[in-house]
Amino acid sequence: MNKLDYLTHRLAAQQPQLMDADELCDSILDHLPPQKESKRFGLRHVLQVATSVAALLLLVLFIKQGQNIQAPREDVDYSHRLEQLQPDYSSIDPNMAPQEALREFTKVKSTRISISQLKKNPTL
Amino acid sequence: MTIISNEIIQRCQHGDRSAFRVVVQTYQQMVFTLAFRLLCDEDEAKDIVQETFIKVWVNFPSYNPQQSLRTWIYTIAIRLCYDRLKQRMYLTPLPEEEDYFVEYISDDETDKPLENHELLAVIKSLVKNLSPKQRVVFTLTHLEGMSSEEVSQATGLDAAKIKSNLYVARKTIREQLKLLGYE
Repeated sequence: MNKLDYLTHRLAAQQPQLMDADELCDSILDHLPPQKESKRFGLRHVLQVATSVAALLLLVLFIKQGQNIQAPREDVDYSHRLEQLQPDYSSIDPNMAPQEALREFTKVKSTRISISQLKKNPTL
Repeated sequence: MTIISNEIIQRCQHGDRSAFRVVVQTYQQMVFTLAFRLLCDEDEAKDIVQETFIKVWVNFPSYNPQQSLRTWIYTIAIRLCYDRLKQRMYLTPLPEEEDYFVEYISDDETDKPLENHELLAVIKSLVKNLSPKQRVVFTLTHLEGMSSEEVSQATGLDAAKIKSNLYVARKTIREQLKLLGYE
């Protein structure tokens, strides 16, 4: 052990005497302020968090439901137009030359109207 | 060292002052010794005892019983002392204190218990050239017998800083002792 370590070893063994320890203790207890509320994560905190999360979920659920409620559907009868959805291939003669039949087929197909087009513009 | 029972701790956490008296009585000497060694002033050490236990009381509901109560109180006291040390940079021992220090280091064989003022004179003269950080690291390591990890936990300094501060502190003190013909 070197001299510095020996010196600190000797000093570490020396303990100062706390005079009037009881008086000091009484003085501390006489001046105690109110305690702070616990910051630790206890059951009460778990319940608080769970309640907040549940409330938030309910709110989200209500908003979602509100978005899903749609305006009543307009009862439009497209039946009179449905035949237009079906291309009329009667104009294609089985005896036609292949080139001509293909041309006629393309022409007929282009006259087809889709349901979405009808919905967008019922006057079609 | 008396160990505080879990029942006492729980009662303190629920604001029982009579249970807290047991805690104060058990640890006030420990806190006083620490503050005395760090601050080298008996009255200031008593102030630290008071401040420490008030802080302990106020924060008792947040105390985690899985942590050692002794370490928790110790850490609070160290931080309070460190804050005070930073306010007054260096210690200036009185000439008679320096004389007593020389006398103490020259007498290797004496192990008689020192009076408070004698102990104060020796510690003050020993650490007078150290900065607050060096003084804290040196005192905790050599006089309080704490490990590097414990010092790190209590002060918030990392291992490298503790090592370098301790190295400089030891070097400074050895040079001082050399000048006095001790080393």
